[in-house]
Amino acid sequence: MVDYSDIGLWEKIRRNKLAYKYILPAALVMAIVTAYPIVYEVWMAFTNFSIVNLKNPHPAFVGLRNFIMILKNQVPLENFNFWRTLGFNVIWTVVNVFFHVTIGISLAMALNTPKFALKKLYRALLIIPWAVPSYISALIWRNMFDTQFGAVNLLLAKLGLPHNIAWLTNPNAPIKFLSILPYAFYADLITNVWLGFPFMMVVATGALQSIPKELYEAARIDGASEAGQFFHITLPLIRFAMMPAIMLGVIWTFNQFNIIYLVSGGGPLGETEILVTQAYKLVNPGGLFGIASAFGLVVFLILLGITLFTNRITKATESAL
Amino acid sequence: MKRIKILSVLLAVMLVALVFAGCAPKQASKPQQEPKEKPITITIWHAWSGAELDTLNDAISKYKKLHPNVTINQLQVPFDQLKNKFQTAAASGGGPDILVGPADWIGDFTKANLIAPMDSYVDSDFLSHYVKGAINQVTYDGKLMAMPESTECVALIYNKSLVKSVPKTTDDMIKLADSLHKGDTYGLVYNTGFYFTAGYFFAAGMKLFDANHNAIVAQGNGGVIALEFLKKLASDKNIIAANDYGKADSMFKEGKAAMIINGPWAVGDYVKALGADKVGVAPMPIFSPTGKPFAPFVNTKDFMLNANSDDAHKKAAMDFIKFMTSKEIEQEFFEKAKHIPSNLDVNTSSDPIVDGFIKQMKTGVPMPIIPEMGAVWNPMQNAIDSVLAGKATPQDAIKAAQEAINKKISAMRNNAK
Repeated sequence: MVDYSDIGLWEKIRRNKLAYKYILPAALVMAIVTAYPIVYEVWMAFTNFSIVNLKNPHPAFVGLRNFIMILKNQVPLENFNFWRTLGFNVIWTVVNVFFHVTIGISLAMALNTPKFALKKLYRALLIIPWAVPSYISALIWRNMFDTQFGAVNLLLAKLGLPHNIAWLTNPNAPIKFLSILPYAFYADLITNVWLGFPFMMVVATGALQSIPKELYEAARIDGASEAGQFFHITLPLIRFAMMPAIMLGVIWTFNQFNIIYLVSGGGPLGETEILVTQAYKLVNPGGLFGIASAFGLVVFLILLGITLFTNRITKATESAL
Repeated sequence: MKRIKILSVLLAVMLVALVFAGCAPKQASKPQQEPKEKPITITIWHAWSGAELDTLNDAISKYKKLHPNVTINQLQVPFDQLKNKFQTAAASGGGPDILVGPADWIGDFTKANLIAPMDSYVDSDFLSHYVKGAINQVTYDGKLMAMPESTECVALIYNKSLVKSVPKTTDDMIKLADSLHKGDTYGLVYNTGFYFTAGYFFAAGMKLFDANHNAIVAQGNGGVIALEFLKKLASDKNIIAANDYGKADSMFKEGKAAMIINGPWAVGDYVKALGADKVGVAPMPIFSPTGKPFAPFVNTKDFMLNANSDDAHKKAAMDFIKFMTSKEIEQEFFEKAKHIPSNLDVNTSSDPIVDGFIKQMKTGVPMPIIPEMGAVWNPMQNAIDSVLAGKATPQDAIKAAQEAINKKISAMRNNAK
């Protein structure tokens, strides 16, 4: 390896001309389809860009007005409340990832039991939720949560439990002290847990299979209980595989547009809106392009913060490099 | 890397091809009957489905036979997306040549210069063949901004094998619905969208605008009375009252709902699903709290011309619009899709379904086409939703709606300056 650290940029380019020629077409395409829209969006965020000035794109520069409107909840759109949406988004992410990881690891452990009959069949069945396109699952679940004809309420009725629950339209909270979470949250949660655990299960299965059996034998000889084996051998050893997966899970769930938009639609009355579905509604039906761009930047900053934070505590990306 | 290079070469080739495609079709022509006619493609966006879409496709193939040089591309867009999609596309200089939409979009679109006036393509003789009220509705600032295809309003549609006699008042309707609910079959599925419920808001005495186009929905207690009525409907276990068009629609088609509130566009499909002798249409029952008749929005469904199309496309599009509103095609839409024609020459005698809608229209109010109308829909819907969900009292909800509408209207007026 040559040390390039003491030579200038032009010199580096001159020495590697051929390489730059090779990446030129790709770089051009990236510049047009990725970089340009991002720069354009940043510019839009500081203007009063809206449907009226699309045709003659000379919207006025408004400084930080869009950002202030968002943070002060002054956006002219029904049920817009940035802080509630942000809080809901965080709760949504934490609860989902918690269930994804615990269910995923539990199932992976169960399926990792030696001499377990029909193991492959179960494994295939459990991966199905992951294999079905998520919007199809979302629409099926939406129908299952129908008040009169949905499978969920029919099942509750068969079991003699309270039914006729308006899962998607009742804005009240079933658990009183969690008043920010309406029925629709639980509908979204059940759907997304069903969709999300297979990924964690697959990752955990791979990690479990790489743990040498000798470790468990040694632990048993030392008199460690099942729980002790799990907490002192299994968990520390799968941690390095699980952490990047959990980070991915956090980012995916934080931006889980499909489930929220298709199952509860952000309703009732905007109570299950997350940041990305809210951003979408700012454009359609809102037509507020400038505010939507500013909103996009805010979401970007939040995600950047989360990524940096998780990176620091896990150092996960370090080991991946 | 290699793949990307191939891709970029491909893209470049396509770009070049596109450039040339623009100037290609100068046929070295053998003299035809009309040598002037160049091939031209007209795009039309609409929200028609089912029987309406079939009829549109028939009409397009008929037109193609008469004008082989014209290709008509139709694109179906879900109704709740259509306005936004057209607005975005047209405002950035694109969009279809023709848009099929309701008249209340005209004010918005005209102000934003998205649609072109049609006056230069039609004369008074041509217009004399159309319902005068319909032509008046699509005239904005003295210009003809659209061509009406049909007139529509919502009315009570009922399944004749379940409903023996049509209820006269809303109290009767609720009683009847209670008696008809058995298992999966419901007496009434009531769509609580503001468009569908507006008739009772007006029957209760609510008004949308004053003479200066300022919203006055919270004036008087009309809004409160109507919201209380809707709340009563929603709390009745024998009635499904929800803002869910798809669910109501499919329940009626499956015979699981005895009564539904919907417009002529849906009846073609209901007749197909249940049989012509099973579907009845009547005016909605009289509003018991005030004794006034249901006063739905009466609106035209119109063809609009994109302001971005060049003259050749406008001319060709206009020719197609004239064909679509001709006696022959409107007769087809009337018979197959139960559209109530705007063309006076269409023979509409002896159709009980259409009669039901026409009776309902007599108590209706014309849909305002001023741009301010666009500010009303979501706030009113929000008022209905929050009352039905028990999150707000009718009084608070209507006040909140009034404020939201004011905010939107003032934002709209400031932007225009």
